[in-house]
Amino acid sequence: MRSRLLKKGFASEDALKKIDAEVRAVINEAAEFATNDAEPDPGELWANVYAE
Amino acid sequence: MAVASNRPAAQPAAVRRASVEPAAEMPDFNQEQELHAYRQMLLIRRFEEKAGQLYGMGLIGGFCHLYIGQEAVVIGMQMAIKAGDEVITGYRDHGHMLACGMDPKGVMAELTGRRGGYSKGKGGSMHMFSVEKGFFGGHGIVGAQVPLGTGLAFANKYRGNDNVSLTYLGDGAANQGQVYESFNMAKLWKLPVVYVIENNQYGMGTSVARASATTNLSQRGRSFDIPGEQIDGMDVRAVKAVGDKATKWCRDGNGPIILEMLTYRYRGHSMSDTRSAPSTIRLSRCAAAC
Repeated sequence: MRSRLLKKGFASEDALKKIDAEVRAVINEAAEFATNDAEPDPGELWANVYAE
Repeated sequence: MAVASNRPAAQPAAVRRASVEPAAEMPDFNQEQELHAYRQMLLIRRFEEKAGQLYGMGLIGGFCHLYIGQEAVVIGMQMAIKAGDEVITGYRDHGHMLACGMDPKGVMAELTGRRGGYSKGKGGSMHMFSVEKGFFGGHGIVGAQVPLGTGLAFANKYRGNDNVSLTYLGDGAANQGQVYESFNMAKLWKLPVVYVIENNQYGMGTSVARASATTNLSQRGRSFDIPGEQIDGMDVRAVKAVGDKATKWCRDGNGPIILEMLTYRYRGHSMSDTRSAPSTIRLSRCAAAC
């Protein structure tokens, strides 16, 4: 797909690199968040398991 | 009859590709579409690679099924649907979620079991939902989503809107009984549902040829007179083109339709399956799709 984009002149190599970098940034941000966010509160363990 | 050997039937990529008739008129993408598709598919690819890494580091536990290699299917279909349409799939769902516009942070945090995840960290890879974005899961039981997706279409018909339910399933799920019960009801009541069979050639480790009496899955609705088409699922333009046709078919009140996407996953079935596609297949698929 990449080569099709370049061949048809729809995007320059630089423009594609920019997209790649943007995507990487989004994913890295997601990974950061996913790694650093807190785990659910232990009080949640029994939530919604039995009827109150 | 040959005794089943332990080796999955070899499916040379060239043979498979030749057996799919290219659509007579396959509109090419314009610049905006190409760039959009590229970005979306890349997002899924990088996300899945990162998820694989995090799993290896022990930050993700439980099941994790990666969509690497199949990105064109969900993005092509996504480019063919409109707001209001619903998406439902099985457990290889990270790609579908990103395609629906769900936040990568929320998806990844669910994978790592954190409270910022879509299911507050309690669901994991296979159990995420977003009614707001029209994504209805995320289901662990093989083929469970098919009756559910059919039900979503029933609700739409009942409500008299023109929404379509995109119900994705795999080649393994295509042999499940409830799928055919759903087909029957969908055709009987002319429900607006597009069944997208993502045939990545293997149900876990069993090749389609060894698991299915008939391997042209696009014809699985024939007993119920449901039309079906087989598409090269590695070409996002082909997917979108047939997606446009299929959604129109449904919105015009014709009932269900089946799209069999011939695709391939580059990694194993899940993170516990350490095999990956031979590089020859990967390279030839990439070359062919360009």
